[in-house]
Amino acid sequence: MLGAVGLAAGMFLLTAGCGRRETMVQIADLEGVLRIGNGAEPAGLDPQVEIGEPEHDIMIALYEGLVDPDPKDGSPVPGIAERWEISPDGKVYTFHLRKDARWSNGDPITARDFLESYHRMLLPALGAQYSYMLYPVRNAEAFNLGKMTNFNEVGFKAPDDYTFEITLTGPTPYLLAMMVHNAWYAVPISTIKKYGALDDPTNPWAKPGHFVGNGPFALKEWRVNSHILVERNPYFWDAKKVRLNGIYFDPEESYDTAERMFRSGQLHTSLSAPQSKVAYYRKYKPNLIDVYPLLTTYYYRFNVTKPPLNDKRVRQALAMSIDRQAITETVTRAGEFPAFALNPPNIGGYTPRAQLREDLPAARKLLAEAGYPDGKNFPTIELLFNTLASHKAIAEAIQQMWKKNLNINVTLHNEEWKVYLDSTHHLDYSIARAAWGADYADASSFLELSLTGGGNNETGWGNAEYDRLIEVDGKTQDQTARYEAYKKAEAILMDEMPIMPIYFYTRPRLIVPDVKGWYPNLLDVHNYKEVWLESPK
Amino acid sequence: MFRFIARRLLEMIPVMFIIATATFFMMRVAPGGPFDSEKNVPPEIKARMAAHYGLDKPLFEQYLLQMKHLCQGNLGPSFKYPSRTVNEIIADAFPVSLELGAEALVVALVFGLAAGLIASLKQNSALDHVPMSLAMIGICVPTFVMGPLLISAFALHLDWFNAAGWFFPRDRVLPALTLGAYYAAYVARLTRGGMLEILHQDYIRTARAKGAGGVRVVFKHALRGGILPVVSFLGPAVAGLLTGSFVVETIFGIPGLGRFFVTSAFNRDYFMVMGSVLFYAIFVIVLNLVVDVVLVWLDPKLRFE
Repeated sequence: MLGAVGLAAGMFLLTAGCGRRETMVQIADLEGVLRIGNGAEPAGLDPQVEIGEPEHDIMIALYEGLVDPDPKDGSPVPGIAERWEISPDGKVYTFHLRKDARWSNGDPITARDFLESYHRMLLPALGAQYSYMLYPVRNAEAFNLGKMTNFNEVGFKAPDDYTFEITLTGPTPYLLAMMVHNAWYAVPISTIKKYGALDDPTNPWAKPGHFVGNGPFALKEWRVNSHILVERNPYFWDAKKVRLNGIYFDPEESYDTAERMFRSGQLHTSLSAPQSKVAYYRKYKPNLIDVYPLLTTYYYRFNVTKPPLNDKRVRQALAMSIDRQAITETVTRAGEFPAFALNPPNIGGYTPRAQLREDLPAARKLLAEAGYPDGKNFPTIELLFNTLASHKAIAEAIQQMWKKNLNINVTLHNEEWKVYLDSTHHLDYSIARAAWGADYADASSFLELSLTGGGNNETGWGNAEYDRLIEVDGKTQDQTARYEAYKKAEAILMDEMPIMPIYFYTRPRLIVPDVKGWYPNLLDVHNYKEVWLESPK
Repeated sequence: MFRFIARRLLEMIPVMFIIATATFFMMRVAPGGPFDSEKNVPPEIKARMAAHYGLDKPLFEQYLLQMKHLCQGNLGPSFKYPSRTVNEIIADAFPVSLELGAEALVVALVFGLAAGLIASLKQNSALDHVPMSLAMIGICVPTFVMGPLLISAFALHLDWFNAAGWFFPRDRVLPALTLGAYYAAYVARLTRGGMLEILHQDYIRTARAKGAGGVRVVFKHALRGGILPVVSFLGPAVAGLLTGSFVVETIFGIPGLGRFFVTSAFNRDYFMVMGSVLFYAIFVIVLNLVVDVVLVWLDPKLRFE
C-alpha cells in the first residue's frame, strides 16, 4: 500500500512537474502579507459578542479603541482618543478624540459612536459575555442586568462630537488597562442596524461585504476553517504608519498541523509549538522559537466544603509537598515557571509578597496535626481534570508526589470539557485542575477570582477580610496603597490555600526572523500596526 | 423497481424522526450547556443568551419547536458561530468533505481494484503476495499515522506539496491518499476474494471453452460478479469516507464538515449537532439505497427477491 502511495505521488509529480519552489512565506514577504497561525477558527468578529483569544487576535487588526495597546508591552497608549484627563478623585475620565479618525467606509468616528456602542454592549438582550468589563462604570451593571432601563443614568456621556466622558462608581486605577480589551471597541451602529437588530448576537454584520471597522486593516475574505484575509484600511487615521499590506490568518487548531505548516514555509508565525517539540526548537532552532511568560496561572482548586479539604492544614500540606520545578522541567517542558503565588511576578510593578514554600517536614507535620499522621486514615480523594494528555501527565506526577511524600492516595478522574465545567461549577469534585488567564494586565484580574461567591471562585471558599482588601482598600488611586492591599489579600489566599498554584504559562511561539516589530508580551497582544516583514538577504 | 425505491424513501421518514428525537434528548441529557465556559458569566447574562435561542422554554416545547423548524428545512443558528446558521455552515463545508471523499474513493477504487484483480489472476505468486501484504498494512495503519508520515516524506523532506491547506489542486493529493489508503486496501482484498470465487465457476470455464480470450473472460464475464462484494462494501465505505474524514481534515487543515460534526458535540452546539447528524443520516440512507439499486442491476439473481 505504501508503495502504491509512493507511486501515486510520483505519477502526480510527473504530470504536475514540480520541484523545489518558493515557499508561501517567501511570496508573502514580497507581497507584504503576514501569515499567522491563529490557533482556532474565530467564532465571529463582533467585538461585543466574542470573548476568545483567537477572535481577539484578529479583531485587534480590525478595530481600535479609545486607547490602543502599546506594540511592545500591550500597555494603554492613545488610540482613537489622542489624550485624556482623569479627575483628582479618579472617578471621571475625559477622552479627547482625534478629529481625523474614520470608519473603514469613510464615515467620521465621533464620541456618539462610542456612546451608542457601549449602549449596545450593555443591552441585556445582547447577552454580551464580557459586559462585566464595563461594570466599573456607574450604573453599567444595573443597566446590563435589566435593573435600570434609562441609559442616560449610566456613566457614559458625549458632551460634543470629540469629547467622551466616563464616570465610574469608584476609582478603578486599572481602567485604562481594561480598555485595551475588545469589549471596549466601538462598533459601527448604523451598519449593524442595516443587517438586523442591535441586540441580536446572531446579526451577520461582521462578515465580508458587510463589515465596517476602524482599525489599521479591514476584512476582505473569510472562509470558515480555511482562512481570514484582512487588507490595509485606507481610511485608518494612522494609515501612513501601517507597513503591512495585509494579514492572513490560518485557523488551524492542531498545533502539530500548524507546526508542519510553519516548517514547510506556509506560516510566518504559529501561536504555539506542540509541547513535544518545544525542547527541540529551543535547542536546535532557537531563532525560530520565542518562549515568553504569559499572564496565565495553572492551579488546582480545592473544594473547601468537603472533608478532608475543609481543613486548611490539609490544603497547606498538599500544596507544600509537590515539586513544581520537577513538573515544569520534566512534565510540561515548555519553559514554564513554577508558581508559588497566584499572581505571576511583576505585573505592572506588583509582585506578591507571600510565596508558598515547598517544605516536606512542615507538610507532614501539618497533615499529622490535621489527624492524619503519615497519611493514616486519610480518605482516598479524587483529582478531576478535563480530558487532555498534558493535564493527565501533570495529575499523574502530582498523584505520585503526594503518595511518596505524604503517603496519601489520590485517584485521577477525567471528564470531557463541558462535563468538567459543569462539575466544577456545582462543586462536584474534591480537587480540580484549573487555569486563569488575565483579561487585562493588572493583579486585580487574578485576585478578583477568589472573591466570596464570585462566578469563577468555584471552591466554596470566602473570606470577608480578603473581600474588603480587594474591593475597598484595593480601589484607591494610590498605587502603593493599592498594591499593599493586594499583597495582604494574596497572603490570606496563600495561607488559606483554597487554590494551589502550580506553574505560570509560557507561550512557545514559532516565528521566523522575517517578522519585525513583533514583541513578546505578557498578554500576547500584538498591535499589527507597526509590524513589518523583511526577507533575509 | 420504482415501487422499491419509493418504499425505501418513505421508510426514511420514520427513521429520520427517530434519529432527530434521539439526538435531541441525548444532547440535552449530556451535562454542561452551550454557554458554559472557563470564565463564568453572570447567571443573568447566561439566562439572556439561553432565552435568545429559546432554550429557556420547557424541554418538550423546545422539542416540538425544533421539529417544526426541521420540517421547514431550517436548522437554526449555531451557538458557537453566532453569525452563521447551521444551513450556511453545512453549505460551506460539505462540498469540501464531498470532494475529499470523492477523491479518496477514486484512490480506493483505482488502486484497490487493480491490485485485487492482478492478485486474483496471479494467485499465489509474488504479484498476489506483495499487494495483499501491503493491503494488510494499509488496513492496519491508522490515518493519524499515515497522514503525518506522508507529509513528512513528501511535503517536508521532498517539498513537493504543502504540509496542509486546501487551496491548490496539489493540496488534494496527500489527503486523498491518506483517507483512501485504508479503503483501497479493503477493496483490494474484497476484489481478490470475489474474483477468485467467480473465476472457479462453471460459466467461466464454459466461456473459456467457447474460445473467449483472457481479457474478455475477466472484464465481460467475471468482473461483474466478482466485484459484487466491493459494491456492497461501497455503501458503508462512502459513508465512512464522508463522515470519517475528521482526522484527515485535522491533519491537513481542510475546511470540511467532519470537523464541525465532531466539535459541535464538544461545544454543545445543539442545533449544529442536530443539523449535521440529520444531514449525514440522510446521506447514508440515500447512499445505501443507491448501492442496493446498483446491486440489483449488477446481479440478476436479486431482481426476484
